[in-house]
Amino acid sequence: MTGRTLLTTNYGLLDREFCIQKINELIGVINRLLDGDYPHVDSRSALEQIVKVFEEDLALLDSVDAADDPNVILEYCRRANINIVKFHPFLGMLIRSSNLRNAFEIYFPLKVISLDVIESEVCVVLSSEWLFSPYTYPTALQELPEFIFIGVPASECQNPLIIPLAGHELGHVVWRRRGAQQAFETTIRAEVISKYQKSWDRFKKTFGIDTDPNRLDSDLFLRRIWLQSYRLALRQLEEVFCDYIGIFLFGSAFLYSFRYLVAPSLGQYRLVNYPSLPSRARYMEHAAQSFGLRDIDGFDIRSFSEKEPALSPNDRFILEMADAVTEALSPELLNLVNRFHGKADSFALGSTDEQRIRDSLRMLVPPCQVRSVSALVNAAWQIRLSLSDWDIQRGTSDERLRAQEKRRILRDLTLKSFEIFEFNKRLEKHATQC
Amino acid sequence: MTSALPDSLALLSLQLALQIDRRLQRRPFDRTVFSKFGRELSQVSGIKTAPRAAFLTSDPMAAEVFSEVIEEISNTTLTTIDDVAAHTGSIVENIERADSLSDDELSKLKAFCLAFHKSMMAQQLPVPYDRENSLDNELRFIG
Repeated sequence: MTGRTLLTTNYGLLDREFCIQKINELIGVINRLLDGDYPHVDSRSALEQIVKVFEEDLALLDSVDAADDPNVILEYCRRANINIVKFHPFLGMLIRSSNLRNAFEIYFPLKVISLDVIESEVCVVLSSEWLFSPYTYPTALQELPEFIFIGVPASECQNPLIIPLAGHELGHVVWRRRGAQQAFETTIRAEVISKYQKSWDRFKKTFGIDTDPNRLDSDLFLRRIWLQSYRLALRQLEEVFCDYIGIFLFGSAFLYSFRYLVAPSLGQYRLVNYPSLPSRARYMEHAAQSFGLRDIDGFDIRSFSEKEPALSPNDRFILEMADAVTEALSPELLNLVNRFHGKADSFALGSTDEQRIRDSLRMLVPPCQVRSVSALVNAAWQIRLSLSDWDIQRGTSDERLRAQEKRRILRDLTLKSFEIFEFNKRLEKHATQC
Repeated sequence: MTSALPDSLALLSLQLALQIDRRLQRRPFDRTVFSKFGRELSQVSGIKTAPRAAFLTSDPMAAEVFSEVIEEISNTTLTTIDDVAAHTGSIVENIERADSLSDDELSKLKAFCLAFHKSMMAQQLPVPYDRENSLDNELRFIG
């Protein structure tokens, strides 16, 4: 059938044909990616499952025919397009997960921590990203529910001291897939409505609406306003929860790695789906103290500042309500961490090993036993924060070069120590993991 | 940002639109999709257990999806969440008596299914873009 014939009979058919072509191209690309080498089986599994998703999409497109309503056909095409758009970045991550840039020693410890936190089958894809912000794809992929994708800034892929930030990323998985969000949503909603009711005079003046605050929950127009505060507060609280998970798992190492990567800010205007950086740092400090951390000299909330965006009065009100909700509810997230951290140990359990590990690293010897990733990373951070006291590389007179060398040595020692952790763990119970 | 509505609901909605279209054309169609979608829609909306309470206590973003879709396809103006609940209840009832629906009622149901699918697809923002949302995307005051 010619293109012209297709168009005159059912205009949806050509779009269907285009979608089928796009999907076949994508499956071809994935099959070529599958020909490559991957250091971890999870990356290959993800690719294989993504192929199945697109094969199902092809089957759906094949289920419509020339007699069907073009509007229905186009909706099938829309669905296929969404998947094509959605999965593209993941394919990028998956191919980059095989790159030698990634420090492969980090993978196994992350996988073990993920298993402990999630307490069910979990597949981890660790990859470099050309976006200077570690992040996961938390909402990903109902189609790949057991997968966690963690992206690390490409320039930091060899830096084991930022592994605690992966704890934050695991927090997203706990929040969205393990029920933490669901457990908290009603509380957030109630707090948003309460804040609006308490600010009712200002709301009326800002929005030019004179109505009964008791209608906040039933009136659709009012709902659409506070819904925006709700969405922002929900995202902000998720980020705070993830920070708390990171602190629970890694203690002060999380605070230091956050400061390293972010302070004073990453340059842009404040992102409204995060608390402001100063607030976020303050919440972290409070959580650290609540979890029993006493010595966090390497973390200073004064290091964080950012520019607030210029907003219309209406948008400013919406954001301020969201911020107020986050401020009010952030302490309750600590209870949520205690409820949802799974079998993962708190940083405190490994802290007795920190001194032994630190002494060993200072002597340029990887510790003979590493039972806790948190203890290892905290010990490494202690050395990093007192680098000038580490009396090595005396032959280098240039202090800047000497410091650079020390950091490189610390990195290599820490990565080697991760290997020892993996060796110990595999002897213990993870013999065939990964 | 995504709501908690499952993708299975979106797919069933789309498949139901297709089957309704075939039925309207007097072609063979799959009746089972009607009951599958009806069951899942009832469960997600909570419309059969406690209509008002379900919409009030459920995910407000999910409630917003329903209200947007109903406003798009109906000629009435919705003002309260109870209006949304009532319309959703009527859709569920129609699905349950699908065998006795007129062509006009079937066409309206098909329109709902297509709009619902489109709305749910719009929720599935590609994640990296979602995470890097500009301010304009995060704050959309409808005034």
